[in-house]
Amino acid sequence: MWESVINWIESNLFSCFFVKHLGVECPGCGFQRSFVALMRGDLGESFQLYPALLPTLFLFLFLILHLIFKFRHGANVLKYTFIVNAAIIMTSYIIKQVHLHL
Amino acid sequence: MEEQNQDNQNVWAGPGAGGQQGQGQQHSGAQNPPPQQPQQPQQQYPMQQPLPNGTAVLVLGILSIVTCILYGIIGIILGIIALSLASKDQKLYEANPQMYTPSSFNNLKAGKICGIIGLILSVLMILYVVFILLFAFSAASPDIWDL
Repeated sequence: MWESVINWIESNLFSCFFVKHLGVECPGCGFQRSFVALMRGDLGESFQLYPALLPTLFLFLFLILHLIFKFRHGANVLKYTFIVNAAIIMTSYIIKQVHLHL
Repeated sequence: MEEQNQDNQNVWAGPGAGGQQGQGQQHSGAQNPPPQQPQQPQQQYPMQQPLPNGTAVLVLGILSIVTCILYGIIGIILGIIALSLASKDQKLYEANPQMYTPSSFNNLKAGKICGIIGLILSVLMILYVVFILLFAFSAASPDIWDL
C-alpha cells in the first residue's frame, strides 16, 4: 500500500518550468525526488538530492504548530530556521551548478 | 475601586464625630471622580489584542522562500505583500505599544525579516533568469551585440 502510494507520487511529479524553458535547474529542483527518497526512508539519498528538504519541512511544520500553540520563542525559532534554510538552499544550489557546468 | 472604598470607610470610621463624618462624605464625593478619570483610558483597552496582520506577515514572509516557482515572481509578490502589511502594522504598534500583544509584534518582526530575505532571493532569481536568457541569446547568435 505504502509502496504503491510512493510509486504513484514518483510517476506523477510536477515538472519544473525552469528546466523545461531555460535548460538550467532551479534552486527548488530535486525537492520532489528528495521527498520520495525520504518517504522510502532513504535519508542519505534524500539529503544528497536536496539538502534543504528536512529544514524546509521543519520550517512549515513548525509554522503550523506555532500558529496553533503560539510558542513563546516560536517567532525567533522560525526566523533563524528560515535564515539557515535559505543559506542551505543557495549554497547547495551554487555547489550543484558549479559541479554540473564548470 | 475596592481599595478606595476601604480607604473612605477608614476615613469615616476613624474620627467618629458627626461633623467629621459629613466632611468625610464630602471628601469621598470630591475624591472619587479623580481616580476614576485616569482609569478610563485603561478601561478602553481591557486586554491587549494581537496586531491585525502579525500572523499574516509571518506566514507570507515564510512562504516567500518559494523563490524559484514561476521564475521568482511569486516570491516577489508574497514578499512585497508581507513587507507592506508589516510596515502598516509597525506604525500601528509604534503609535500605541501597550495596546498590542508582544507575541504578535515578535511574529511581525520575524515575518518582516523572512519577507526581506525572500524578496532579495526572488529578485536575485529574476536577475539570474535574465542573465541566462541573455547568455542563451548571445550564444545562439553571437552577432546580436554587433548591431
